[in-house]
Amino acid sequence: MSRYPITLLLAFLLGCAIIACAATASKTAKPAELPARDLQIEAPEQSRAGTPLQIVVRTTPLTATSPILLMAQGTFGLYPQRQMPVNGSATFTLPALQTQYAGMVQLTANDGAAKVQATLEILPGAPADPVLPLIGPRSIVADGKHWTVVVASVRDRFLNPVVDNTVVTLRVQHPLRPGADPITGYEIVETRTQHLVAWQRIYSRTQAGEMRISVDGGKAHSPERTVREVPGRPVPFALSANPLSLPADGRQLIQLQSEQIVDRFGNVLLDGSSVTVLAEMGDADHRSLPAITVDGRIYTTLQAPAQPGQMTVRAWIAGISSRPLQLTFTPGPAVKPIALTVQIDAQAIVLVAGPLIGQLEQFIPDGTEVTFTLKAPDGQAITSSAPADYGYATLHLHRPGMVAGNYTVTATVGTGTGQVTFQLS
Amino acid sequence: MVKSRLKLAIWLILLACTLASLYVVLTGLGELITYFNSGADPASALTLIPTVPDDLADRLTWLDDYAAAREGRVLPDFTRQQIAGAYLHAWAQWGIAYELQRPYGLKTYFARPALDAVSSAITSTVSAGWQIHQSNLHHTLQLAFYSDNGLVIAFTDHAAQLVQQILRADGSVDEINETTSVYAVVMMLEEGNWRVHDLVRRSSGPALSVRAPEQPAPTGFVRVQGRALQLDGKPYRLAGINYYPQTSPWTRFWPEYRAATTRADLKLIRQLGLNTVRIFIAYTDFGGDKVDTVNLAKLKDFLDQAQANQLKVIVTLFDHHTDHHLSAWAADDRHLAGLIPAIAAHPAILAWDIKNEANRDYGLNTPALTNAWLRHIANTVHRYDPYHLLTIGWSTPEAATTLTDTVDFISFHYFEDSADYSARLGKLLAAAPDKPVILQEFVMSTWNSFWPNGHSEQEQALYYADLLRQHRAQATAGYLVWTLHDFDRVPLAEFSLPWQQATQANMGLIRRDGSVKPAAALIRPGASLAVTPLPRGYRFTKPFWQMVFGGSGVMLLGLLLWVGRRWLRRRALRRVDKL
Repeated sequence: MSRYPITLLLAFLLGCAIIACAATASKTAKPAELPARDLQIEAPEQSRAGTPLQIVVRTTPLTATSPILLMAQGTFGLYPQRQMPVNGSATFTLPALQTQYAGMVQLTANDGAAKVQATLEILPGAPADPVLPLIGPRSIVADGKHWTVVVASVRDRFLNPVVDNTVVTLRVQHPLRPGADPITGYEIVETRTQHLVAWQRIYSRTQAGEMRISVDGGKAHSPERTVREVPGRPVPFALSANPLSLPADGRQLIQLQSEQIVDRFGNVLLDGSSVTVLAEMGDADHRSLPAITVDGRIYTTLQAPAQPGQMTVRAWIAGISSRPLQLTFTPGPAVKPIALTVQIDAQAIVLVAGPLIGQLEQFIPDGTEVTFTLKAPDGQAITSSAPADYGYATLHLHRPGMVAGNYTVTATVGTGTGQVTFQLS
Repeated sequence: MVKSRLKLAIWLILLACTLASLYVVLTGLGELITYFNSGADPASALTLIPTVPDDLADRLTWLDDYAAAREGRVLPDFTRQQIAGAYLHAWAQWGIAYELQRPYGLKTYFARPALDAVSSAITSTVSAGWQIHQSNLHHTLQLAFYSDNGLVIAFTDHAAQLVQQILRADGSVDEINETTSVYAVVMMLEEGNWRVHDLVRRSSGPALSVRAPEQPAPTGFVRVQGRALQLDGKPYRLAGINYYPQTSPWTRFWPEYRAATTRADLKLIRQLGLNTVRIFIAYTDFGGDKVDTVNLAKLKDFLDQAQANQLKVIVTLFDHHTDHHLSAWAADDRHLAGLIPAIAAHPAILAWDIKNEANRDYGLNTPALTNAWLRHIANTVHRYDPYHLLTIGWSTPEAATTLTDTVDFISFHYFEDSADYSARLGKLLAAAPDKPVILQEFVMSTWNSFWPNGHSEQEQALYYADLLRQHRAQATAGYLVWTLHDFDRVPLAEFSLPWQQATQANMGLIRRDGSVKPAAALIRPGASLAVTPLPRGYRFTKPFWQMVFGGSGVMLLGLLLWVGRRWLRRRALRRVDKL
């Protein structure tokens, strides 16, 4: 019984010894790696994108057995591979997936002792559809001076930009005047790719409209792109008004409009162009009206001022002013003295102004505002208004609360005026 | 009486427990308060995020635009910064995707077709069982085209410095690939972000050229001539010392730098007959990637004083910097950019030592990674300073056979048995037949205590004499001893145990009281190496053996007493039995 642990211990030690011997044997059984003194890479100097390639690395001596690591550092990353040389050479395959990206590939072979490098240039293929041009700005002034830029990236079937100096043709159809021969607006521009892209400025001509552009390189074509050639700054234009004269009643409207506004090449201004109409009447009135163009014209309305006189109207677009337009606002609407009557009862005071007579001895228009100014005994003035109705305007005052004394009432409408005094006890 | 003592003991134990509990509670409260009062500065919440982080921004340089680009729309500075930021982020994200082994986050910085190509490259490499780490170190851009509508830009990256580590999961491959390539790049502004749209590698090449220019070095610079060093055409046999001040060694050197101490110590070194000093630039102390100008001024002062004392200086870089992962290389480059140009013209510098005992970093990184980092740093230093020599301090002669093509002269350290020195040095000289070789550190501590392996000052002198005799006998270029002073303290975490501290603190030639140890007389060039040999059995007179023998004697005596007493007691019992 006492010998049992000793037996176990001996068995354990024996097991350890066997394992150790086996481990040593397995280490020694593995053949020693023989590094190469020299390596040589056999690879083409150039290749087309997407072509699988074989790279052969040769060792000196032929008996070298150390694994060779080949690293292909291309445009979009590093592709390592490792192989054991057989009879002095190891053949590596770069599959199409790794050769489809154009650019210089650095090949480095290394077996831990020797190292060698070579370069391989992967060339992009022929231009392939589609060419996708980028154009901007998409709207330019049709004056022969402004331009847009076409940037085209012409690619092969693996989307590599084609080699620099590839001819890229831009075909441009400028807008034409009605009836003009299309060939007069046709433009062909050749440029070449550099720094992976081709770019070219396309200048506008003098006819507004839509410019159509296409790009092709080799046998690759692009979809059509359009750029608007828009009118430039307008030439001075004229305004007209209907009517040219109105009573200065502060109510009635004058329709203002312009002739068709064009740039110096006769292109009609685009709808929606922003316009500012400025109306000045000395120190009496000064107005600024925003407007836009529709069909190349300005349409807007101007309200009559309350004071009679001459008004000068101008419209401004892009810093260009129209010719000035003179409008006349005659005195009115009431032009004669106004009679005022006062009816006083316990609850109310009724002021009636009328008749309110215009230049043609007619009632002034219904709704015209008549201003009543009531001057209280303490000197305080209160202003109120009432509309004219069939030649009369009536103002109701609430009597309770009004202090006793003399009151003076003045009624005004246009140039007509009247006054009355009453007493409250 | 016994009872009262027992009560006292119980009271004392209770008191000790109470005090211990109080200490634990107070310490815990203190930790808690510290925890809640530390962290980010609340004011930083309002700090605007820069377009490009500082560590990326330094990695890019713009050249003057191509002439054709200058004819078009002017690229505003703000847009230029945005484009540079997006380009750097794209490369950084590419590296992150490799790190994560999947095309992660690339959509933010790449657009088709580049996006598809990068994603495919990462996926296929990972699926083939490879792991790649990648870091972009620097880019040099030149604008070729900026579209009038501000949406397309084409430029050339003339020097995309890239470093990659290629690994197999089974550890059978660990390869570093450092390249400088030219890329043609097209970026587009999409949804407010600049993205890489096209990328084509125009040319490839290794890391930037490293060697010194053809023109001769300025006067006063040490050069290599075969296996020897030369100064202004005359042989320069290096005899020097590794230096730290007595009261502020290692990490305390630069923070507690005193010009007066340097003045006195350099004078002392000169009096010892030495011509060279080796100093250490601790990476962190010098500000890491943003070099501290205060410390830089101290370094300049040290060099000025060395020049005044006709001493040459070997400046050891990256001391205590052991992380050589690729992502840290750019920061190391910035460290060099802040440090080297500022003092590159200083005639007191003999050489740049890239790293102290670089082979000790193999365990923290990998040998391939560490060696690639050393090569990269050597290249970068040479780019900033093509005239001063370069070396790497290896911890053994065997390790010094590495990267011999990268350095101007070979440096190694030797701390082992002097009997093996000639053979090991001979192998190193045979492995590098065309380079000067120096013994950069050799040392024997004179801490002679009850701890084993202590040495006396006489033993130190004998060891130095023996090493130097063997060193002189071979074709070497010089030596530097470790170190000038015995230190008051050793502020290094790796030497925290008392016996480690004591060993490290007693390695100097000058004792703490300023007196000189016998070994100091041996290190002058051409000094007599005759040292009186120690008597046979000298080692047994050292404190350790005295303790062993004394202790053994006491134990033997005790055993004899115990056995004798036991024998006497048995004898007495037997007598009683007989009676």
